[in-house]
Amino acid sequence: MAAKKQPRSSQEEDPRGLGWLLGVIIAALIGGWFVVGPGADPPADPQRPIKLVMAVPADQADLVIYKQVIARYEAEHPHVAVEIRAIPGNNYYQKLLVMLASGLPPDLMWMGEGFAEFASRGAFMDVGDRLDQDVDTSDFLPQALQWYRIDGQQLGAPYLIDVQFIVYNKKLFDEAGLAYPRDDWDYDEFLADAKKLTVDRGGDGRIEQYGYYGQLDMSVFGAQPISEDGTHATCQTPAMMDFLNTNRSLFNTFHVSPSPQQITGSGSDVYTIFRQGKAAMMIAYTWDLPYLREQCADVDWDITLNPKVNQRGQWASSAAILISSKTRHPAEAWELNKLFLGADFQLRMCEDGGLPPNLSVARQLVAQNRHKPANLQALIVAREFLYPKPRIANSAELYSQFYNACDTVWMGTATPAGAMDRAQRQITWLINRHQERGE
Amino acid sequence: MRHHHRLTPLLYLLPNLTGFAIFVLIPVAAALVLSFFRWDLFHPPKFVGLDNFIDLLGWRRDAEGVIHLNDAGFWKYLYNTLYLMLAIPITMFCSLVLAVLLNQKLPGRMFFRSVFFLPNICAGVGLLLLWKFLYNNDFGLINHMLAWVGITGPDWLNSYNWSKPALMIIMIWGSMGGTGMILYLAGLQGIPPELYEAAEIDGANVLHRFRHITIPMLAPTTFFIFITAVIGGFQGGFDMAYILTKGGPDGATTTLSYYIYNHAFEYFNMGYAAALSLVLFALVLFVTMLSWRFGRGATE
Repeated sequence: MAAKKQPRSSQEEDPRGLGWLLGVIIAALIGGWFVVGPGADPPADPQRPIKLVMAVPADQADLVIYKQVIARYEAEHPHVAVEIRAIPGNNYYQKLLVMLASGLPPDLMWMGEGFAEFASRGAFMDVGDRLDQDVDTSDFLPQALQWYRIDGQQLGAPYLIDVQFIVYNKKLFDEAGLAYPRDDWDYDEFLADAKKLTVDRGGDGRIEQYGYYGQLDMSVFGAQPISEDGTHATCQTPAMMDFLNTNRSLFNTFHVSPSPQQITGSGSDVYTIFRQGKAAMMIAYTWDLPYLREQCADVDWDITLNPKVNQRGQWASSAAILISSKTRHPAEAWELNKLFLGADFQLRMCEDGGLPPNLSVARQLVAQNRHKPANLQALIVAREFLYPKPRIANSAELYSQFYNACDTVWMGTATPAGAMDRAQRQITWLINRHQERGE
Repeated sequence: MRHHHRLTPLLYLLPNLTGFAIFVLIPVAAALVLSFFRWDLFHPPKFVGLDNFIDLLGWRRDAEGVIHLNDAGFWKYLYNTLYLMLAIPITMFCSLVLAVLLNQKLPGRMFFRSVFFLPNICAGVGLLLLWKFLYNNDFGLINHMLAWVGITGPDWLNSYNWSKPALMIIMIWGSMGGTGMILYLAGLQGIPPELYEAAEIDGANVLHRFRHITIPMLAPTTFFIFITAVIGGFQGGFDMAYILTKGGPDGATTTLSYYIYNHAFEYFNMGYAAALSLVLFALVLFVTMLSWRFGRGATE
């Protein structure tokens, strides 16, 4: 029997009323957006107070330097106030992305490895003419300037170059009776040293001291998973096979290094591993230098360059302060930006770890160095064969396919050829899709 | 006067509804619309029709006629998500056992109830970091204990085969004493004791009583826990992937929610991420309706 329809109680609410109310709220919110949303720029007035917003990663030591530069700028430009937005490093690019998407981009922003993703989407102002006019770049590393040239536009210049190198424990070299590595050494010398420096004290297969902790970088093989212009995948080149096979042999055949999976899985940070003498040589980067100085103060260490395998090469990246293409104050932003290209700023930012792009500043940095490493000069030598990742759009998505495929090689679940066949296919399809869509 | 009566409660609801509209209704509607657009957050969204869904769910043939999925990752990460959801029945079983134990009139039961609920009130990130140490291959407690009995433990979080079970263990540990256990406890206390007394007089032992009284009487609770766990399961895994494994190795611990995040905030494919969300929504809806269709009969 069908249930008898109950009369609506006087307390029961008509759901249509709720719907109406929701509709009114949404309409009010959308209407409100148009009323209070971003409006047109006010007319330019040289006397009008201006506020510049600058986004940087929240690094306390760097913030002090930024603030000093800004204080100097504000003193010279009293009508301009600069607000620093210090964003925690882990979510820096995500937060910046949201700021840009919401139509409230900072006027200036710090850029590191994420540069290409933002630059390829038109996030930065072309400063080519201003750079030529106001900044003496004759002493700049030409390659470093080239890194910031996208689609014919010069989007800025770096104040710091990050370089990868090898750090080694001199005491362990002495104990093994080995000469310290030269900057121009080769793979055979590297492998011979790594073998002699690898120690299995109990003979039980558990390595107490690895000759090398890390991978040999793609740069010394001349390998890249994606072409320089980002138009095609290059995962199946002989250089890439060399990269995978050689690195696999380091942990699989020669046992001079832990596998990349073991390194990822190790709960110890690399400085602890190095300090405890569990690694005689280790891959490191310029940003590691302050931590090595602090945490490995008791260790007698120095640095050297990568051994030559197929070629000489050092992975490199850079950092720059760039101007947003959406800034309403390009002239004021450029005046501030200029200070971040100066020799003084480069020197101060690179003191802890980094290579100044300006050669004379780099030489000054090496000359005044009183700390470890003694061979800081190696960074200047490295300028000749820096090997950055291609600066292309969608690199995070494309590289994720490559890194996933590499994982299978390190885990031993795929051969280098099989893994790179997969990566090549997936990257090619993604590149084609992005090209079809004009991205 | 009648009109006034109708308006007053709506006005009371206004603050809540405003928040609901801003943080739920509009974003959900925007995601639905965005799934038909291509948007990298820099340029204005561009309408692409069903392109995102074709990229997501479609396939292609290569020159040799071999079929390749357009987005093989999606299917792999869907599999990962479903694999991790295998923890749901185990968690539910553990919750039920805990609830039955803690429903006994034992000394210290309030203390144990609190202890088992503790993971739910602790900061998730802190707990996950703790698990990272426990799973560590070199000095982790778990492998250390396995070594006591002569077992060489796996490299839990870096092994393709062991990383998913490792995450499942965390999920079970974290959830078995949570809301599931509380709901079962409430359900157990709602079972009339006369039923047990009558069964006991009829000669039913503990297992009979559990099988024929407790389980049927808890069926509505079980159904509710199951439905909410399935919905949560489809949406879950982000925090563990983000903190413990970054989705690796080789995507073994990437779940759909982590994949959506990657597309939105790492790859700048906001439209594609919205399409993924919509497919995930459809999946949750389908499975929930299926559970509702077949599960409701069992509870009535």
